[in-house]
Amino acid sequence: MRKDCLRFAKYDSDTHGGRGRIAAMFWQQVINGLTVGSTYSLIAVGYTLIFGVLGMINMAHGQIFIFGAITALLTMTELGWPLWLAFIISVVVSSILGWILELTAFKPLRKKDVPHLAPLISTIGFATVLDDLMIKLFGADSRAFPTEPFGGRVTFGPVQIRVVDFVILGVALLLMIVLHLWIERTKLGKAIRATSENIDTAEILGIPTDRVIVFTVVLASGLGGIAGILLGLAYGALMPSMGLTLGFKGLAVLVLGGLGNVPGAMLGGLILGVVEVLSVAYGQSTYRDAVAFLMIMIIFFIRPQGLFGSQEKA
Amino acid sequence: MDILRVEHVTRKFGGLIALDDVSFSIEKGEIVGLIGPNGAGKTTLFNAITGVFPPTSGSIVFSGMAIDHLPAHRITALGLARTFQNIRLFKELSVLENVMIGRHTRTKSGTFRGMFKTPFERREEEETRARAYDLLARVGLKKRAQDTAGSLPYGEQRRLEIARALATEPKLLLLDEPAAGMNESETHSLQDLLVSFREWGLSMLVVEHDMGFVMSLSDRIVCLNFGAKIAEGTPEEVQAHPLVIEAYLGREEEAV
Repeated sequence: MRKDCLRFAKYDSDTHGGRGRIAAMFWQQVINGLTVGSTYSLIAVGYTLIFGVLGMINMAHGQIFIFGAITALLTMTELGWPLWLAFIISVVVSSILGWILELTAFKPLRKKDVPHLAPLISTIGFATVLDDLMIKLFGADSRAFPTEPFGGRVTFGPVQIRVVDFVILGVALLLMIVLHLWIERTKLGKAIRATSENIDTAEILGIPTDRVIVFTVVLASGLGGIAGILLGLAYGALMPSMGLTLGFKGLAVLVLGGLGNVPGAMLGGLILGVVEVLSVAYGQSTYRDAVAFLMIMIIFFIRPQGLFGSQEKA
Repeated sequence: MDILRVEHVTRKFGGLIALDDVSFSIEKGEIVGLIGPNGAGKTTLFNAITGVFPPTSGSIVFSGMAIDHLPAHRITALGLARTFQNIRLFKELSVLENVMIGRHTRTKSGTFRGMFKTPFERREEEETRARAYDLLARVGLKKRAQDTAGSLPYGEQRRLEIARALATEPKLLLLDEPAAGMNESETHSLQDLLVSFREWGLSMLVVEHDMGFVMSLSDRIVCLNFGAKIAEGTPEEVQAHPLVIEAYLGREEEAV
């Protein structure tokens, strides 16, 4: 009897402790997923803003933000500049590249009688040039990204969060909230939404749509610049080829969230990040990307217009 | 004084002549009706005037300034607004936002200052909002201000499009089939609404197939057929014009 009791007690404490650990691990993974996902969101917002006003996917987006981020990384490691300055450098460099992209790849083809997908190809051309330029300037190897200022962990009950993840999630979420309010509330935000819905009508109503397009491409690229630095913090390293692979993640989120839908891109990125991390934690890491894309395919069977897209735009 | 002068305007699309040497003018405060059978070139003329498809040759002078080949948003800034045959609202934006966007050219905060919310922008935004509410009240849509534009019934969408066009503070308003799809009482109240804009000295050019509507609304009528102007005059004169009767009913020999 007594023995039984003891065994029961032990059994109980085991399951209890086990459950606690399982729950803690789960939440740990969710936080990790949100952190990675928030960088996907920022990348996807860049795609979706440009898709909104131009109806076109910018295939050079990945290369643009990784170019900006690596330039900023070099100012930190070679010149000893601080992280906050690196953010600004990355935004400035990416924005300038975005502006050049608009001038060279989009504008010359606008209102010309070119095939619908011509600007897509010209952005691929721009991406190729940036890829080669990066390898020439920076080399193809990965470079360590200094994360020392954010060493250590914060403990929330059973969940431990790296300070650096906390910073990434905080910056990304804050930026997305500000962007969302800005698009909803300001005059230029309204002009962007109007141009996205119907560029000809916007023009007729007196909105200088050419200027709105330039501004949107620069804004999208600048946001990418911030995403690039956050990626450096998250992975602890940056290399030119990340532009392509992370660009594809952003593209997947663009479609997942609904083309041209800004809140959709934000939520879609977070969802993709969480699913990826959970699939690694509870499945096999080799299938990480496969699971994520499988999920996207399943979502399209259920909601062909994307998670948050409207029926009309699909 | 002429607010709009269309002089020898021709528009070709490839080999097709959509507008053939069309000339007419609109005086300040005047309502001019533009009629003609389907495919006569009425919408093409609207597109030429508003800068969507500039004329191949000829000139368009708006309050003393040549506007052919200006970009559409500049023409709007000069005081020319239009509505569309197939309603083109920003369906996902609210009723109020649709009208506020119409005031884009009338607010000072430019593209780059419009990024921020300084006290100046805040004040200007408040003023824009108040003006937008006034216009919505004028067309009877004040209660729907916060609804999405796409959720309005058809007749109210037409009224919203007119309010949005008025928000650009036009001197000349181009209306492309404003009464299309409306029932008799809606058409009637639309007519009262349009006539009430005369108090602002607003000039209007109206394309319309509802003959009763356009004849009683307009001071003067211009009739197009196959891209060319075939008649111009008071509603009575145009209705009695043999070429107009022929355009609408066919030649007498054919009709018999």
